[in-house]
Amino acid sequence: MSQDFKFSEAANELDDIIEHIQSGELTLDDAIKKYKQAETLLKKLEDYLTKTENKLSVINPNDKE
Amino acid sequence: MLVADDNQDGIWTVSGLAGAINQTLDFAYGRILIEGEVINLKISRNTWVYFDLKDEDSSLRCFGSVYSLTMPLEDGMHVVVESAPKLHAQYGFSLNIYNAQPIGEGSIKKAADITRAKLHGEGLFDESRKRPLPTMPQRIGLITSFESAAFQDFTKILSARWAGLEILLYDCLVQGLEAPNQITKAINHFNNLNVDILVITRGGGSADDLVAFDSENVVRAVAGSRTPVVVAIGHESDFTLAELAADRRASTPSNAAEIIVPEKSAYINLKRQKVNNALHSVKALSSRLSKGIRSQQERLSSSMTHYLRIQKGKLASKREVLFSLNPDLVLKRGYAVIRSGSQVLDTVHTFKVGQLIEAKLKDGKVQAQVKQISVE
Repeated sequence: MSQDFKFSEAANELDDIIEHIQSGELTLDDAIKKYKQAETLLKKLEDYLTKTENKLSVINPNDKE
Repeated sequence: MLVADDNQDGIWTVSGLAGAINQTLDFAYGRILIEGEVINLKISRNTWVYFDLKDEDSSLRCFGSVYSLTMPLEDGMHVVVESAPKLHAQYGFSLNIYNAQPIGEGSIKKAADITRAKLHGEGLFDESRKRPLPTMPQRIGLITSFESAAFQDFTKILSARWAGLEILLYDCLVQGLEAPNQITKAINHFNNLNVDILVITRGGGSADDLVAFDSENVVRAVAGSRTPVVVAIGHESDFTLAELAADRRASTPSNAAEIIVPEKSAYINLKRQKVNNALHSVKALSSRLSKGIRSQQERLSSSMTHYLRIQKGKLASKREVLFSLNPDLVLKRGYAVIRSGSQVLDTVHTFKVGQLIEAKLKDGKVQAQVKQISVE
């Protein structure tokens, strides 16, 4: 997973694509293309949540005074 | 016997002795914690606080700034005071107060009730002040003790539920006299950083353990935080004032983690369901288009059939007209057609006497010669 991957942006993009497909404004060809994009994004989101770890940094108040 | 250091005669001056005693007190005690009951409390010009601290046998005068108090005091309260014993040249012996905190459930409740009434009046606990939490926080400011079970519980549940988070822990005391200042500093520190949410947490404990969360400074910092705050103290009854001022209260450190981030499997399942719904939409669109084409084919076929039927009808009608005009039918009724060569002779004026003519009848032809012509 690329370090540049922004989870929330990808999640919003997925929601937008789904909404677009369901709007009924697309041709069949475009709807199929968008659906494929949605599947790819979903896979990326799932990979991110499976493979990325949380990071912890500690601030010591005594260092700040 | 002590020898006065400012007088060679061995006689102390008052100031010299007072100074020497203060040096001794400072050397021997410095800052100490002392516990007792507050009596004769007076606050002067909203700036200075005076009271006596007593137990069964003794009473000591205390003096300090009201700003050093993290909780309100009242006569009869039991408190622990951080102070330095001093001998004032004019006022005699007293304890200089640096901090004071009620101890024991009764005193803590009394102090919390006073603070609650004051801050309630200012609207700090109003529901309308509470902000929604960010739906997908990325950077989390965590205020608790690094050594605590609360820290372990919170981070464990957080990691089980979500990924890619940046957790900034401000490692601070969450109980004791110094806790209110550290918690307040931590909140202010995070308000200068770009974090999405603040979580202040600790496990449950006695009223004495949790008293920092009733401190006016802490409650004001929570209410005034620019970043939305979740306060999670591990107990279920008698909420602390910091919890009341928070944008959201959580019942335990683990519960705080559950509140601030979604669970990743449930999240992905929900997204997958939405993607599946989108697939149904694509299939429905395809099906609608196929039906449309079939329908158009059917309409075209139907209109062609209709057209052909009309044309057939017209043809039949014309055939009947043509049939009625057939000269053979006239001949069959007993009439004849008379020709001279190729010319049909249909009026007496076209006949000439002696002319050879041919009469066509229904069953044959007759050759004849004109003998006479009479016009009628």
